[in-house]
This record gives sequence, C-alpha cells and structure tokens, in this order.
Amino acid sequence: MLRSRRLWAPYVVPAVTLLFAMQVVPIVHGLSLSFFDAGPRHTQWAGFANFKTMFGTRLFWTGVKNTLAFTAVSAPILIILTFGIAVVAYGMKRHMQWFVRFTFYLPQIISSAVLSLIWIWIFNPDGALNSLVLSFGGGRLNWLGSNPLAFWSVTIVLITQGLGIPIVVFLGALTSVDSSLYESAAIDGCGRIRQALHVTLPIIFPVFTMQVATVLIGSMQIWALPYWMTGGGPAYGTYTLVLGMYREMAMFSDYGTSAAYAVVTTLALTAMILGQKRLSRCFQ
Amino acid sequence: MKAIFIALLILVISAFSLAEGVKETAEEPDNLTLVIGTPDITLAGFDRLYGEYIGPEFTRRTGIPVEIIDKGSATGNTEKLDLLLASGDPVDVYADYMGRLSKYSNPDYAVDLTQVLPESFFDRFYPTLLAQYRVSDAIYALPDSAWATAFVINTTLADRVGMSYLYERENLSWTMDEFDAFARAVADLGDEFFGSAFFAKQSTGDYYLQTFIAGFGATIFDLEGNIVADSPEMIQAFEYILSLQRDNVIVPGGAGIDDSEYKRRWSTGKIGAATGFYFFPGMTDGSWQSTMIAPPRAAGVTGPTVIMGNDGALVFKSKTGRKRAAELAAFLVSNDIQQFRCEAQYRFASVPGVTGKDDALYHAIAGIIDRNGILNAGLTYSFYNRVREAWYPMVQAILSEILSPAEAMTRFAEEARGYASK
Repeated sequence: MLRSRRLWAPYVVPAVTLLFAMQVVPIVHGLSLSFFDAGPRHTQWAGFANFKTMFGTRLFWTGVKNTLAFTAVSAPILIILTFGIAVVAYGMKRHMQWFVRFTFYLPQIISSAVLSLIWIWIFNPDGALNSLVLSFGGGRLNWLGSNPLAFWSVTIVLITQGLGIPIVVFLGALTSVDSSLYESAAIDGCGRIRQALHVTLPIIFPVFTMQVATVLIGSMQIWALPYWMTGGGPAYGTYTLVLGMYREMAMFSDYGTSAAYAVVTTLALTAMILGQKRLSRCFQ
Repeated sequence: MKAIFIALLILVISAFSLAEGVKETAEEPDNLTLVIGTPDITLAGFDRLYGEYIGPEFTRRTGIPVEIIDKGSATGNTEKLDLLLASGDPVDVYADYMGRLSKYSNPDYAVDLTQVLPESFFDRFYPTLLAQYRVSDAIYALPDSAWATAFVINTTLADRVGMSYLYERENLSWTMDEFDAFARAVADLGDEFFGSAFFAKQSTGDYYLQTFIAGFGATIFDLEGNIVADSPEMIQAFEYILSLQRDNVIVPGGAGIDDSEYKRRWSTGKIGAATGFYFFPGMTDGSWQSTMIAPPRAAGVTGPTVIMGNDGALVFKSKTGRKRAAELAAFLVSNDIQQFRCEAQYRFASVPGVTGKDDALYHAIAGIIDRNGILNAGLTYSFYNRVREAWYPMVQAILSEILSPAEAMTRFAEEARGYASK
C-alpha cells in the first residue's frame, strides 16, 4: 500500500526535510565554506586558498601526526580492552555485570571538561599520581607539562573515557551467542581465550566492526581532552586536527580555514572507515 | 529527483555565499545592546556599575534603553559575538580587554569612530596611547583604562635572606644581577623555596614572561609593531631562564603550570619574586607579605618593562543608530567611569587627569611607567590573537627543553611574521 505515492509522502517528506535541513545543509555549507575566505561578517570566494594555507603550515601537520598517534595508540587498546572486559564480565553473575557496566560507563556520562579537571588534579605535579610515585621512591613527574608524558596522560584519559559504550555494546552482543556453542567448544578442549576468539568473535563480528569504526571516529575527533588538559601543548605535543579546527573558528573567527580542517578530517575518517570495512570483509 | 536535490544544494551554497553585509539606516535605535568584559570585578560591583549606573544614566541622558546581553571576561564573549555577527544582528557596543577585542577593531566589523564622534573628542586621550588604536587614519576602538604588570617581591623572604634593601629603595629598581643573587638566596632556603616562577601552560603566562624578559631588552614587538622575537636579547633571556630552571632556582615544570596554579604557588609564600599584576590585590596585600617592585633589568637595558593591558570600546556595524552607539562607547570610557574603575579595579586611566587608587603601589608603578615607558605587547593589532596563541607553545618547548631558545624563537618569529603580513 505504501507504494502509492500519496501514502508514503506524509511519512517520508517530514523526515527527509529534517534530514536535509539538519544534516545535508550544514554538511554542504561546511564544505562550501572551505572554499571561501569566511568570517562572521564576510564571505568571499577563495578557491583552494584555505587548503593551501592549511597544508603550508607546520601546525597542521603536527595536528595530523598527533591525531594519527592518538588514534593508533588508543583505538587498538580500547577495542582489545573493552572486548576482553566484556568477555570476562559476561562470565560473571548478573549483579557483577551491572557493576562492571556502571563503573566503566560512568566516565562516559561525565562531561569532558569535568573529567579533564579531575584528571588535571590527579596529574598535577603535587597531585595524587605523583604522591603515589613518590611513595614508591620515584621522582616527581611533570605529567602534563612535558613531552611525551603529556601525550600519554591524555591517551590514558581518552581510553578511560571511551571504555563505557563498547563494553555495554559487547555485553549486549554476547547475550546473542548461543550458550550451547560454548559447551561444544569446551568439550572440544577450548579454553576461555580460544572460545572468545573462535566462537564469540566470529558470531558478534558485525557488532565488533561497528565498534571499531565508532572508536576510530571518536579517536580521530579528539579535541576536548587536550583542549582542557594541556591546551594542545606542551609545544603542540597534544595538538590535534579537531583542536585546530576549533581554534580557527572560535579563537580566530576564520571559518574558511576551520572548514578546510573539517573537510580534511572528514575525508581522512571516511578513508579510514572504508579501509577498515574492507579489512573486516577479508577477516570475515 | 536528482535534479531537484542538486538545484537545492546550489541554492543553499549561493545563499550563503552571496549573503550581504549589514546595511545602515539613519533611524534612531529603540535600544542599544552591549557586551562587556570586566576583568576582576566582583559581580556585585559589576551590577552596581553597569546595571545601576551606566545603563540608567545613559538612558536618562538620551532616552535610549541599554540592554547588557553578556558580561564577564572570557573567550566565550567573542564566541557569542561571532554568532551574533554571523546572524546579521550584531551587538551594538562591545567593551572588553583589547587582547580579545582587537580582532574586531578593523573595518570588517567596526565603525570608524572618527566619522561619528567629534574630532575634539579624541584629544582627551594620551596621544601615544591613541596612536596604538589608530589604523591608517581611522579609529575603530576607544582606549579605556588598563591593568599594569610589574614585579612582586616577597618582603618576608627578602628580610630572611638579608636583602630588604631591594624593596626599600625609593625608585624600586633593581638589576638582573641583584635578582639573580636574591633568587638563588631564596632557593637556598630549602627544597620547597624558589627564587621565582614562570608559567606557560596557556596564553596568560605571556605577560608575566614578557615583563621579565624585557629586562634583557627582549620583546616580541618593537615600538613600530615589527616582530623582533628572534633577537639575541630574547635568546639570552631564555638561556638565563633555562639556567635558573636547571639550577632549581625557579618552580619546575613551568610548561605545565597555569595561571591559577601560579597564584596558588605564590600564595604559599615560598617564592622570592615574580611578575605580578597590580590589579591582583592578593599578590600585594598584607596577607602575602609582598610588595611591588620594578622588573629587574640587565646592565645597559633602558627600554620599558611594564606591560599595560588597556580595555577598549567599539561599535559594531549595526543596522541602526551607530551615532548613538558611539555615544555609549564614549560614555563607557568617560572620565567618571574610568575614575570608578581605576579605583575599584586597580587600573590606570587612558586619559590625563584621572588617577587610580591613591596608594603607594599605584604611585610606585606610575613612577616606573613615567621613567621607562610602556612595553608594546601588541594588544591593539588585529592579528594579536594569533601571535599570542603561537607564543606560549614555543615557550613550553623551551621550558621543556624540546627546542633550544634560538630554534623556538626563530620558529615563532617566522610564524608571527606570517600572521602580521596578512
């Protein structure tokens, strides 16, 4: 019945209009802005000038390098860690599963600004972490004020903040695995790790690949943590592409260059996700 | 369907691209909107000054209500302003610290006030200060009062190391050699004592550091506005700071210390002398046993060391009432209001005849400024924001010993010159 144009239109048109207004228009506007010398009060055609300027600055390449480094370090750790925690938690009793979910999901619901403040207090030269280091006879470390320690400090927070959703999703996916398969695997002599790799992983593979994509997107878009914790420093050691995009827009009112950053980040992410999908197909 | 979709996209792009600027009409405004940044004034003080005096008084004089749509000193001010500007309905008047305001004080955004205010109005400002606000022959922002940097010395520690004479001198000046001896003597008091402190976690550290390095004759801008940050004096200044860091004379980890941490450290009473602002009463009142002193200077250096951070008031190119808005901006920098702010906020006026708090510190700093002049920190340049944001990461690189002072300052100067040339 819905094939009749008159009937599908009232259902589809509002949704498509909203999608167009809220998603397509901003995307197209963002894309078009990257070709303009644009600010709050002016818009002038600039061709590829914003890209040329951006590619010509050392800072952009520092942002590329750091963003890729954050992604390369945090994404695999997050995926492996969350999958492992989910598998272990799945074997626990129901109330313990709830506890694990709650504990790891908590940082997710705290805003990045608040989380950063908590971690700044922990990483402070006189803070909790250094007290621990000193109690073990170590020296006072400048966690956020020296490289590469600042990079690793932000990475730790990025990982702790990102644990929640994948664990919850993996735990949900694990419930869809038929328990008789584990019994068969156990009879065949598979331990917990082999069961996870050869039974669980192949069955929840679509969920797994989706989580890999989500984590990649999250890691590539990192900006709030370095913004609050280190300001992108020291010496641009934690400066990222999206932080650059924010600075160009909010601090310097250069919407054109900011949009150019956004376009490049989006293209890089798209390429990464397509590559990941292709790789997933090979594994599957 | 595809054709309609493509046509819509082209329409969207065209609409954004061909959007016209605001066109002025000669109408009298129904009201005037104001965004105001007021550093270090209590909310109660703010409401008294702006809510109970400035707005009502301007309305009484002109019959035009004044609506304050945002207040407080933060980068968020400019983010909101950008949105209002982009929407085509900008605020009428914006008054704030020039470091934030300068990106708007140009013909893209602001009204040339020489076209709407009488020529005689501009005679009231200090001519050298007004010159910094002039872009070609136009003036896009009116100079308001300023904070000033100087050095703060811990008198208790100075007494303890037997160097009380440093702050007892009438002209409050001291040499870099005396600073070095004092700082090292304080650091020798114990592990938790430091001769001085520098910080560079975020941009606010720049005034503190620039005040100190100016003692070597090193500045980011010369008086003509050229970038001279890669000068031998600058390298020498940073080499000296590094030597203090390596000898544990200054608070370690300056690259990771921010403004509030710096003040917290100072409040422990275990730092000998460091840059301070006259408007931070905490650094100079009796509870911290400190007083202000001139920034130390190396032998042969005669240039200014004190930075003054003026506020400014500008008029955005609104749809109506630019003349009235200019009158409001002029009212904001009037002698009465400057007098109030100078006393309440420990500030220095932009006009002769208005004096600040009648205390010894005010006169001491005024004396330092009279003798040595004011450092050009570049606050009024429209590219200032970019230069400022490029500075502290390179200072971090030096303090973290990632780059040598020469490498970092060469890189910074190149980048800053790029911004200045645009």
